[in-house]
Amino acid sequence: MAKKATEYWPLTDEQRAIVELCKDFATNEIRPRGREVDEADVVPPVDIFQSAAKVGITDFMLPEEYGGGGFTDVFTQCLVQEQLCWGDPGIGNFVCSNGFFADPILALGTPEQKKKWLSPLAGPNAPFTALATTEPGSGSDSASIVTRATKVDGGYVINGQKAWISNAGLADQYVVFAKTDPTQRAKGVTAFLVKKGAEGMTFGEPMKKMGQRAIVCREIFFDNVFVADDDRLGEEGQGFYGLMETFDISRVVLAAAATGAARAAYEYALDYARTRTQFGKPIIEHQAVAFRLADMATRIESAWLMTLHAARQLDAGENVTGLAAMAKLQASETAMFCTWAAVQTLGGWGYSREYPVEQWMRDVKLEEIEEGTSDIMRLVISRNL
Amino acid sequence: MKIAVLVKQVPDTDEERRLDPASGLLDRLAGENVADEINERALEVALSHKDSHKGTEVVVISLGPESVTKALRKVLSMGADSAVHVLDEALAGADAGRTAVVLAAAVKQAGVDLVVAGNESTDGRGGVVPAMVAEQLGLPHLSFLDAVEISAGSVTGERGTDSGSMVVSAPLPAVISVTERSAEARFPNFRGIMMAKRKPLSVVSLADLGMDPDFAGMGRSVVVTTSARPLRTAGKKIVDEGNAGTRLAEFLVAEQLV
Repeated sequence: MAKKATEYWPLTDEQRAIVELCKDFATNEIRPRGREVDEADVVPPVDIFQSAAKVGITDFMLPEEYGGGGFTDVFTQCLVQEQLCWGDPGIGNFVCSNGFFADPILALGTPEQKKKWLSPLAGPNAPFTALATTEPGSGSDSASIVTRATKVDGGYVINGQKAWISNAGLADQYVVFAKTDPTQRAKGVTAFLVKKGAEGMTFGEPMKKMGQRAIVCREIFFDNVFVADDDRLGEEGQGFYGLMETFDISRVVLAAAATGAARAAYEYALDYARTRTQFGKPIIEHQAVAFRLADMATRIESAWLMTLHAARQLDAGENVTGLAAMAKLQASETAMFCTWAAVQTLGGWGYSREYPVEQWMRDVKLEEIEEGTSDIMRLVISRNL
Repeated sequence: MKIAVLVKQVPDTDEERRLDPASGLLDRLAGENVADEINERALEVALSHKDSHKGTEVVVISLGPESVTKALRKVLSMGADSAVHVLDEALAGADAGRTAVVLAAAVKQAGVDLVVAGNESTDGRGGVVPAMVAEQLGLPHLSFLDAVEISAGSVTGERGTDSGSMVVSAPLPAVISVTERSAEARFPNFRGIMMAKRKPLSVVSLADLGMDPDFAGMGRSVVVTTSARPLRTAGKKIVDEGNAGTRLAEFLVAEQLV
């Protein structure tokens, strides 16, 4: 990786200052807490989210007209996400999670809905939010959801079950995807906005996870939950297309998250290889170790360039569905490789919970799964050839 | 109340720093230059007063080459209201005395009630500029404060000594210098970063301050020689023969380390 700070693309003075801020925040507020949050298993670090909100990390991606920081470009979001996830993958994603909630509202919402649902997210006391798509029987094939929204006088009644919902229970505001026409697949999906406390909405126990434990996932149960017409997001049947649109953004941002985690593992392994001595010399002077580090560095450069390229294309208004999937595939597999390689480089200490690399290896596995698995990424790429 | 915070741009302490053996001066091109950390703490002292006292205005003042703009934008993004950058070719290589004379003139022009400075920079380590600025302005000076309290007409602080601490106080206007115990600097925030660009940053020359660029009649310090830090030598080994504790204590006393 480039040693001196010659930028990959020219940054504005503000972007440079933002990168520096996020680097400081990741170093001082995120990295030191990673292990504790991992060991706690199902306790989200709410205080870190609140500190992040104070400096503007939780709302920087929202438009200025709703009180956000106004950095709505995906390129800046990538710069931020990469730094924060360098600190810790789970906590980095946790503090930026409101962006994922905002994306479908920005894509489908009316001006009134944007004002009502996005304005509360701005400022130092930001609430948590969640996006509910996945169901026990519906993962990669999101058009197959069976949660039902039935039309009644003045609105809809939602019935069904969601699974693996990040921040469920903790969040105050939810975007929920449900079928308004169960005879259709994608064309039958509609998005709804729901507030916590809606009658008939309950949550399951925290789901036990391999990593990224800063983000606690639960099931959500809908038992005749009423949603007013005003809180339907977009037209009936538009939900799936709104979701697909947000995937292009979220996949590029997650590629940045994965790249940051990969860089963390690489830097950790590099530092260790330079100081750890075996057979009378630092282990980096053993070619088997040096070559592995060379592969890590090469793959990170590649993933980061691809991620920023996809972000710039997206910001320019190009169709990036294939490119976004490529970036996410490349970056998430790079993160998996680099964290594996870091554990390998640290050997027994890598396997120990005294060092963070084993945790990062568990954490980044999620990036090969969420927002579309690597299998789905290859499917998307192949359909966009 | 108007508070001035003195800021110096220094080489990042995270990187290797070196002296140019020819000039005897710090090689400022060797690494990244940033606002000195102690200045961020000094700024925090001013900003926390501003947080609880509406109408407080914080101006940061710095002297140095063009690159100082970056450090000034950073402190503006943390919450300072405006910045003054004294930029003049005649200031290249200025020693502590000249620096203090110029800073004092800039402070006077800004017209402030209180000047907050770090106790010493991480590069020069002179620790004399704040006192010199106070002398130039004819103001009381409270140095090396670990804690600071600012009130309408006075400033009070706590200064650590070898045997305890003393509480010192001065009427405003005054000049104070703070230690790294004084405050934890805040992060800048996204909004601050956006606003920093719109905040006033005025660049002034010596002529603008009504000063003579030749510093006629004023002496200056000159670096006569520099030498590299001697290489580390092997330390003294004490083998425990039942009296290691005593011998360690004797060694520390002999070296005047305790």
